[in-house]
Amino acid sequence: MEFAVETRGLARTFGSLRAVDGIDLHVPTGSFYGFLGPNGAGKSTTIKCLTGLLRPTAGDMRILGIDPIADPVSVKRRIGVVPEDLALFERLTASEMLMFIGQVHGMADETFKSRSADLLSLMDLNSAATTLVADFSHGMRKKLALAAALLPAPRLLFLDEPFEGIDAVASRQIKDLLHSFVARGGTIFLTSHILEIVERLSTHIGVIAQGRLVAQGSLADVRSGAAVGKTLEELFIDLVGGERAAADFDWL
Amino acid sequence: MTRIFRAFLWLRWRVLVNSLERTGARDTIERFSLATEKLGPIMALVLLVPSSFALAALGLIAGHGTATGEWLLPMALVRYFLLASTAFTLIGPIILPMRDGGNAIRFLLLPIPRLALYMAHVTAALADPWVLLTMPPLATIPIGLAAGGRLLSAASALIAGTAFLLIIIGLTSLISSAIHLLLRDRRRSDLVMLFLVVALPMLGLVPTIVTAQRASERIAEKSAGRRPSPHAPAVMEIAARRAYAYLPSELYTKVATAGTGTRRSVVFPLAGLAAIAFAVQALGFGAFKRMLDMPQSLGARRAGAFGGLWSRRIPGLTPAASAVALAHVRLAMRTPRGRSMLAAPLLMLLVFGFLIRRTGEMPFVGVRIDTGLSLATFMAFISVLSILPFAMNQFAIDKAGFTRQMLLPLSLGELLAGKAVGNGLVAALPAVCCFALSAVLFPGGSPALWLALLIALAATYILVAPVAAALSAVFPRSVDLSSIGNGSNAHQAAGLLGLLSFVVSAAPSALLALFAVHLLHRPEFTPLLLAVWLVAAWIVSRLLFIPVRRLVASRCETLAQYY
Repeated sequence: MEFAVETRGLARTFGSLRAVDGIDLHVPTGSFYGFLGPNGAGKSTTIKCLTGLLRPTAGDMRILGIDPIADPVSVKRRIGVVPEDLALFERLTASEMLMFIGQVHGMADETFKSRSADLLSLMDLNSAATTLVADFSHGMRKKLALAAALLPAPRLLFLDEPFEGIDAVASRQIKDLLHSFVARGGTIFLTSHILEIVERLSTHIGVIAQGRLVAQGSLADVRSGAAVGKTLEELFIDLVGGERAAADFDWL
Repeated sequence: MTRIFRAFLWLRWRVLVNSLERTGARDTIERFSLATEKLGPIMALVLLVPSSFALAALGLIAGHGTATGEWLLPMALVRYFLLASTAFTLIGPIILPMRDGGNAIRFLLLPIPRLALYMAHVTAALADPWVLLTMPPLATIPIGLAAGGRLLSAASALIAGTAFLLIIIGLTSLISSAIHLLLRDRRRSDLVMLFLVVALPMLGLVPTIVTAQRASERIAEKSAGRRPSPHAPAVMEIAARRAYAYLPSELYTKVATAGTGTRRSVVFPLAGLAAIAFAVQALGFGAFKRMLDMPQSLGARRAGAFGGLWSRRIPGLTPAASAVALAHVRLAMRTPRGRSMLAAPLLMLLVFGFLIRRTGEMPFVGVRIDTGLSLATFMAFISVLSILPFAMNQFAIDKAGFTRQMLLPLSLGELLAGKAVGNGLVAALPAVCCFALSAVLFPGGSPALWLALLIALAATYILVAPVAAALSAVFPRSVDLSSIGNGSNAHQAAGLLGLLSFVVSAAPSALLALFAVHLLHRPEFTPLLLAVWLVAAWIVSRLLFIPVRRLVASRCETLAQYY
């Protein structure tokens, strides 16, 4: 099997904290990989390592068969990222932001224009194309970050909580777009707290807890290891050990 | 009410302590960078203690000296100090980012009456340094007066001091609320800030403009044996004197220095102070209430497309580096601070040009500017110098966009080249405009020297560029380029070292020009000498960029998390 993302013993520490503790990721090419974990489990740190924002403390990585430490520019030419904080230029307009991405990728003017028109239309950002990003709502920012990630037609997408704050209509359209992206051979690495979305979209999942990978494989494989009829939420809670007694405060 | 005040006091204390204790530094360089940034405020805090004691002693001596009539100078010093304190009250909330009226809005979610919120807002002004320093003399003057045997004057001074304090804390609150209301609309905020950035430095030139005398008049007065008169027109002087008499500091001094038995001389200024205090507090409460009612930012800013200009590629740069350079220029020109870099030198040039036309020369910090070439040289270097806050913190302008650049197929060499060219373009725009305007307004002089000036500017900037990139990586600072003053400046250490690097980079050009003009007496050689220096500077700059690239590479992770 060919892997779009492959890591061996990937680790990242911050002082004494081991945020990512030697994980072996295997994301098959052409899969929709849902990366799950509770808050502070190490999801975003993992994505930052895979996309070159953080240098791993230990371990090896191959992204689309390329070592991102040795040749970061080649990897970045082939991937699209919606990072946790969206990373947008506040004082550029939506169309200028896309133009910047297109210029850095060395896209021809006509290609950039036609793709950005398609994406702005899909994200319902046409009327806000000349508005500064600083004046965008959270949902609009997220849509623009998605458009920026899709513009260079990457082969691998890293999406950190892409549906948070996006309205239902746009969310539906984006999901359809992502499905067709995967159907055409693209790979998506997605983190989300909304388990229903992951369950509906993903073909494969990985679960991380306290920096360690506790489960990985196709959705069907991971499910087969659990009791019959369990939802992904129940499975997730079992895996990360999050079952706690229901809070009941008599003063509340 | 007491509980609310106690909670606010604790909150301010905790915020101060946390800002000093928890730096969130990720590595040693960042710890050093943050430590040097805190050095200034800590030193100011340390100096505040002896300054307060000195001012308390001054107040005591002033009170006693006034009561006994033996020594009046200390009271005159206190009078000017109070005037300075009033002036700081007016401009402090504009230039110092420490007071943010908008913070009060979050407390609306808590069950706190608006009047209590206003009182907390007003009393918070007591922690401002200029107010803290004003309190000791106001407290000790009545003690000095009482010690000198003037008990009634002491009581009056105590009341006047309280009214004065109410005025300055009320003014601080009123101005911070007014600024918040004014800046609530983001588009208006940008315009107001641009006006303030350009207008405030120009205020210092107003007296010179007003008192500027025509060269012909001055020569005529000199030949007639009269001393040149530096006075402003009589009407303005009279109006200024009348208004000055009603300043709170003047009214306070009148109360404190009024002799016994002169009830009128005490009652009128005291009533004036009370009326001003009441008016300021009423206006302050009104502005504060309005701010609480309309906290949100209104209006979305749109930007013109500038045709196909931005989609072009800068010759000599890769598409990616060109994109970074153009984005840098665009981002800079969209901030009030960036626009001021273009507007302020041009405005300064026009003012200086007016003064040179009128008076024949413009003395500036010991330098005589009296020809087009000297004006062009001075203003062009001012233009390059004015980008220091940007260039020495060049990644801050991208904010979160810096992380975006780290995610794109962009090598560090391209990023740094793009930034260097971007900063160069931001500086070149006003520098070239100043150069051209000076040449049009005051033509003449050696064409070779005019040409040499452009080469010298380029050589200076080329050498500053790698230093600026290195300092931006070592001393990053999160700034608000919509604000003025300290809030939008580069890190203090980066600013200082950047200024030094500018002086060092400009020195060879200046020395070569002096060598050609004064030693060789061949000004026509200057462009040639400087062209050779430009090539040498280019090579030195390229060599410097090699270690700088490594330095920035080692700091990228921290920088991406910083902004």
